[in-house]
Amino acid sequence: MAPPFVIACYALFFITVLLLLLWRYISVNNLCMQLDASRKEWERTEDALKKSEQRFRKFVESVTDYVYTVEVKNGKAAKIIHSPDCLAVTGYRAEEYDADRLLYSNIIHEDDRPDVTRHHEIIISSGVCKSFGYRIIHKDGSVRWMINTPVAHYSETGDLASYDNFIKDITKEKELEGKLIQSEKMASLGVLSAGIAHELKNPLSIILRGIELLEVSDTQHNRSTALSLMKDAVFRADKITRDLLSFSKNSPLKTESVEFKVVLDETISIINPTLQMDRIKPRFSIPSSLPKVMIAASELKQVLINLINNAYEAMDKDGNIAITAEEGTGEEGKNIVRITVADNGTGIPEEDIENIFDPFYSTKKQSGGTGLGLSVVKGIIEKHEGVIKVESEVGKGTSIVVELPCELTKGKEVYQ
Amino acid sequence: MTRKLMIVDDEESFNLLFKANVETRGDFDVVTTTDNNNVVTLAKEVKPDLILLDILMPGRNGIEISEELRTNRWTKNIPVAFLTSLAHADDARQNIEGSGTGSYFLSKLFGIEELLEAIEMILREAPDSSMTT
Repeated sequence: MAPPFVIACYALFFITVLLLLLWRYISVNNLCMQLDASRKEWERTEDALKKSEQRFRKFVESVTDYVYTVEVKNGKAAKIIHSPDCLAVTGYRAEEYDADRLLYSNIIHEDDRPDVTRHHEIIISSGVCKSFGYRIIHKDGSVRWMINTPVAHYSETGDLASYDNFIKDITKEKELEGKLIQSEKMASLGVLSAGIAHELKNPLSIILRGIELLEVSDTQHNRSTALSLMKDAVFRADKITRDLLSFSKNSPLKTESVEFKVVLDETISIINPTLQMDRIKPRFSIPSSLPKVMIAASELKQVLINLINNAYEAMDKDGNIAITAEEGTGEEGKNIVRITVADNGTGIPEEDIENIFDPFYSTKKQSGGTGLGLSVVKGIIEKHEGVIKVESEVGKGTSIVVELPCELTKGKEVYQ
Repeated sequence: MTRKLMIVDDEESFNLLFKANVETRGDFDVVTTTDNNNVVTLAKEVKPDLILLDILMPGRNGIEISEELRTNRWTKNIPVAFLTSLAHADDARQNIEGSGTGSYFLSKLFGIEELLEAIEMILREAPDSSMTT
């Protein structure tokens, strides 16, 4: 029989081993539970991430038709990777772009190529990403409108590593926009037709008197006077029809640098006879040197016709319309040209001011306004990153102020 | 007897050709002016048998001028006709509505014979022009 001391030692040993086993069991179990929780947490995170990625992809897909990534090395575009969707948008496969490095630049409409190149240069040199629109020639030969929304990616050292170009085909939207502007133009011409007819009849009446003089007069002096005046009248009639055609034709809505004074003169020749019929005298204050504005000329004409037409319809006979333009600084310090069309007409009640830019809002019951005029104007101005404001007082008149960005050469500091 | 016509139109070319035509075809003496600010003064001086006024002119238009002529004691009896390119006579009438001048409207695109006939008719209908002279 072992002495009680040894038995006690054994008992203590067993108890210790038992306790150790128990502790280990508990801690392992605990660890397992912890691991399980972590795994579940991971799964949840992964699931959320997947969902978020799916959402993002759906979002990108909904606003983007295809993406191409420009990898930048040493301040230069090193490699361009096109997503497979480029086939649907441009008609060319990604492999075709890989095989011909110049293809992606060559399909850009040649009028837009310098502008697109400049946008890429700005991104590469400054990282400033700004959406821009341009046209491409699809493989099938058709012209398509694109909008590119670039997003920059930076390396750990803070250098521009690459940028994604999210491309959206906006050809359909452009076509609809063109149709809307076209129908609005035709509506304006309807209002102005009596004035335009008068403007054409004047040179016609000179030609008629000239023919009649040639019929009866045989003096050399009379004959040569008649012929020379008739010739001038023909040129004048031709100028009127050209202004009219250039206004009414469905010209491409291409943003370019436009001389405000030239566009204003062409617009006034269409609208002035109508104003004169109601003894309304437009006054102009346009400085001789004004920077060019960035807009499509035909759209600027539409803006001016609509604003002058609105002023005209807001007043009785003998009213005044003042058209002024000046160089200035707009929001964010941008260089702008500020154009104001002010009238001394009926004015707009305060409660109506907020509605005047809404489509189909019209107070012109008599002349049957389409109600689209000012909403089209606002659309055009905002598309060109301009601002439109209205100030009005009932009984005193209304001023519509339009701010349009100037030519980029002047406003280049914006990017620097 | 040679009758005196006065034409006020901002179109110098039209004035020249109208004058040459009318003077070649009829027994008329035509005085032309593009200055629509001094019509009353000129009319007082020229004492025309008929004044032909264009309607749409920059600054003072034909309607305003006819009102001035009506309110001046020296010119109020001179018959006035509007010679206009406005689309049709109704447009012109709308412009003059309420002014009560009872004036005549002639289109610039009437043939010259038609215009001369109308002028002769106006001169026949007009009150005795000796009242104005």
